[in-house]
Amino acid sequence: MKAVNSDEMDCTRARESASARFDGELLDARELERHLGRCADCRAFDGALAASRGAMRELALPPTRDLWPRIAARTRRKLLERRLVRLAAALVGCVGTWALLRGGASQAPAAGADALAPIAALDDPHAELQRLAESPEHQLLLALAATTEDRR
Amino acid sequence: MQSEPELDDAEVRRLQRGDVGALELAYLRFGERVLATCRGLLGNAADAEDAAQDVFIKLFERAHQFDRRSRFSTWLYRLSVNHCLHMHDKLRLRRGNPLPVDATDELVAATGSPLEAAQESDARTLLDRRLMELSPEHRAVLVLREIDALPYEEIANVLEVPVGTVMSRLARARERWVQVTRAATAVRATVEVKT
Repeated sequence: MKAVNSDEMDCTRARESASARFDGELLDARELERHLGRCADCRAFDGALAASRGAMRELALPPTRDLWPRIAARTRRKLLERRLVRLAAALVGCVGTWALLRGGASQAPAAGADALAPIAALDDPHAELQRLAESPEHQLLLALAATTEDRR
Repeated sequence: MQSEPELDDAEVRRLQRGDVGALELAYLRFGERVLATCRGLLGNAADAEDAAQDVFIKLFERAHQFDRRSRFSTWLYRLSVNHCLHMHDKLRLRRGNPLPVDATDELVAATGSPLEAAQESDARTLLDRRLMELSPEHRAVLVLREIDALPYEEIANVLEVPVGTVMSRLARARERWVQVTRAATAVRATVEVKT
């Protein structure tokens, strides 16, 4: 509906006021009533508000099925992913810590395949990883990884 | 739509710690409202269900960002509206414009009568299509007011605009919507005469 009256600005404000009155958000309706008394277009707009709300609410069908099982399944997957990220961060931390402790900071390999080379040279890599996992350095790295993940 | 009680502070803290039970509580309290909001913003029940699921996954992932400066439900509405408008843009790019709207299947389930469902569907499909022709800003403010029944101040908080903007935007949106509902009513009358 386009306001075609000569007092177009008044029509704009009147429709805002009519809309607000319909919602119970208008304190003083006297000016609006005066305008509606002389403007048929705005009266038509005012009279159509209830029907338009009814039509809008027809669109809100009740939910046809429970979405929770799918949300729960996706949430569990997300939690698993989050734990895997923490585990991966902890493992990277273990390798880094191990390299620093074994080789010294000055001789520590930079990155990539060279960083994993010392693991291949171990007699018992599992026992070494277990020892590292129980070390205070590793606990610190785990806490750092958890903090980083929480901030994401 | 009936408003549900807010999550209390302890429940929010549980959610922020990653407690799935707290997420289920949020779903039980707000799931229907989130779905209705998504339905109004996307014009399609299947997309709305996908969107509502996404909103609760986002809620779980981003709960720590809730800073208690607004009500929890306001923050959740904001999450829902932003997600749906973003999703609508993506779907429109993928499927073309306008997006498909609902068929009669769900209406058969809702009304129990295929004939009634067909009649309802014609009118609803038209309403859906026309609603999707409104700008995202107009659609959002209409859905929050007419379907979710939020007061102006809360709509302003959800959309992060002044209350005066809500008032004027809602009036413009209603002007367009009044035109649409008149057209839909005419279609419904035609369908009823034919049957």
